[in-house]
Amino acid sequence: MTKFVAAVSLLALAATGCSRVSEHRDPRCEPDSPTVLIAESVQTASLIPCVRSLPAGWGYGLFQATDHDARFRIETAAGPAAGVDVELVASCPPPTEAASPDPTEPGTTVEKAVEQDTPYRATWSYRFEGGCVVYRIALAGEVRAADLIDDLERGLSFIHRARLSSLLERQGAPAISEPPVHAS
Amino acid sequence: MAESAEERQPAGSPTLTDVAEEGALEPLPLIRRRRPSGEPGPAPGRLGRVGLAWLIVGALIVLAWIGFVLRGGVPAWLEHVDAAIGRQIVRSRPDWLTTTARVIALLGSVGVIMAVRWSTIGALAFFHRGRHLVTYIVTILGLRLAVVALLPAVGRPRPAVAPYLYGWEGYSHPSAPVAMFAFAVAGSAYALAPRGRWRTLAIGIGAALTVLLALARVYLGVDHVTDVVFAGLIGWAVAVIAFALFCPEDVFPVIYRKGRAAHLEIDDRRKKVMREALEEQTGLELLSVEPFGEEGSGGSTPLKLRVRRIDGHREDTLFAKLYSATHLRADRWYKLARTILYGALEDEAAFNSVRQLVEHEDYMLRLFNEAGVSSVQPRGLVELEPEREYLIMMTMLEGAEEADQDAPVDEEVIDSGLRNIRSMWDHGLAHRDIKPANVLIHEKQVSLIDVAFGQIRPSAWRQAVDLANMMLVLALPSDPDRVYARAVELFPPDEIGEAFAAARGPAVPRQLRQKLEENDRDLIARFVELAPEREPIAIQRWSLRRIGLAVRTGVELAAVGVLLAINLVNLHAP
Repeated sequence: MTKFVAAVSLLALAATGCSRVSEHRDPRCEPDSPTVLIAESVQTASLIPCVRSLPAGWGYGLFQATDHDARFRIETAAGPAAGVDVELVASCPPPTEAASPDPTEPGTTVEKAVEQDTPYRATWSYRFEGGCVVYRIALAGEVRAADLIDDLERGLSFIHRARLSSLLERQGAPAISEPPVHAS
Repeated sequence: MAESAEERQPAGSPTLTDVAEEGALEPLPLIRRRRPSGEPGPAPGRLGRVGLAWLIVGALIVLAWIGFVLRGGVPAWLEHVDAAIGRQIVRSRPDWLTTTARVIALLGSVGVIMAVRWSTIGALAFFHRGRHLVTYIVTILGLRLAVVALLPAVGRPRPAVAPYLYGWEGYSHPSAPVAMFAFAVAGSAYALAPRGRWRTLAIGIGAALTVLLALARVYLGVDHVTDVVFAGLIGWAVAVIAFALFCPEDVFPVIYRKGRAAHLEIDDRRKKVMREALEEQTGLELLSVEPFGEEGSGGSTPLKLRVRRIDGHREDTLFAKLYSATHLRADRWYKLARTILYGALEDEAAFNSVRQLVEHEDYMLRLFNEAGVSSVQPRGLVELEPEREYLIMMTMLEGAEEADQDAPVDEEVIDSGLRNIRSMWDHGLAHRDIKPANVLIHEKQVSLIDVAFGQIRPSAWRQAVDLANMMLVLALPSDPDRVYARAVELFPPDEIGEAFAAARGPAVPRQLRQKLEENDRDLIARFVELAPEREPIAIQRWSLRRIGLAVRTGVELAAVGVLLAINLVNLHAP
């Protein structure tokens, strides 16, 4: 009986743990752990990439953050054939002539380099104060690319560092670090 | 307060005056005191005070983690405590201290942890400490899996510090570098350092380095205080508990001396346990104990005991064999290997417990005596630790010598040896380990000892092998023609022919094979010439079980190898 209870308890804990793991790997545009960790990975970035909504049938894949960059992936539930790799870094190569201001985010330039129309492959680069986000998009051939691109543009978003910090403070959670000053 | 012998004697049981007090010791021990149900056994528990303390620490940490996972993160009050401490620490970070901290933080790097880990693994493999090696590796894998699973489950971001003065990856709780480093050094201390001042030194150095690493990582802003505290404590606790439970010091001591792993150290603690157990269970006072005859023994720890009845005067010398879990496992591996290599050679099922092992040997000794085989006399067994450690006792053949090439062997001795085989054949017994170390000659009488491998109702093949081995042992110090001439007086020539058709490969014990190889004469060939011709009897027995066992073992080893490669040689994370 004791062994049975212990086994069931462990299974329940494992199941709970699994659900927490997914929470802590899905960078939503909320003051949650994954978003905070992304913010900490590039301390100079004024904008933090996040996911406001996912296209239908899509889910989260890889999530990784280090002290100098962060990356995550969203992909179709069917497998990694179609997906978007999102990477936040401190700086990107200088913009080309194709770059233009982002009307939705003042102070941000966007550059969309389409490598292939069908299946759609492109690299979108967003440059802003203290950082740069690169979206590498690869869609499957049979998908209606135009509709999907609209969904991605609506769903992939940013949260301002200052707003994130303010939301965390309101929750009573530790604030994220401000961009570093020169150490004494 | 010491009791007298009479006070200790339970009511109704035979008193010492009821037996021939000054006569020879009885074949069965008297039970002076029946241990009541539920009372703990004679030897202390495995964990000890230190182990128990670490078990409590580990349990508390696990409970805390369960709480963190269920609530989705570290509680707010803990965050505030960590933030407050962190702010104080990073308020002033001079360059020289930062440089020092970065150097110290390298202790938690993949390279350093791998170096400590693989050095330990290499050393354990070199010194043939299989059990410590398996414990070390399995615990590393378990701890690593637990940490990898916990990091995203707790999901704690890094401290809110700017700038970070060292690299990091992923969530911060528990601190993976600190946990893996703590285990690497603690595990090394318990697996490699002998108990005593060496281990204390190793533990002290390991603990100091772990604390320094923890402090450095907090100073550099990459971990919270609780991240490193939890990690350091759990890494250390896992090491202490794992080695205490699976490699208890009294059974698997870390010692560096010549001798076989099977020979347990008879230290003061073990002597005390023996003394108390002998007194309680046999009414004997232990006067002295020393290792004896270790060269020829590999499956137990052979001892010479000097004893005296509690209230008697006569002293006796007994031969004893100390059996523990070590020997049980060795027996299992030995039989598994033989089954895979040669097929099941009949009655080679492994024992399930140490108790079964000693019960079997005691029983076989009594059977051999009843069958008229010249051997030592049983004197019962004593429980040192329930189900884990036992002492089997028997008479000592004083002045006897091994039947090696220098032994005085004449026809009388040859006849004595062969008559033992005849008695075994006539009573359906087999010894199965007839070699010079187990054949003793005393006053022209041949005695067989070490009947642990003995078998009842053996097959004709097994009986034939016993005969061949005895003839070879007797031929070493004499000559095969003489031995054969005496053998045909007791055995039909055809059966002698069968014996040497069977005497091949693993049927001949290793010590005997070595002696035969060292001998200038090809004794087996000569016996084959003398005896009627028989086709050699194949030793390899193929069966579905053997094939299945070999395939299963191979697959398991391959799976373990792959797991090890993936987890122990991961250059991206410790």
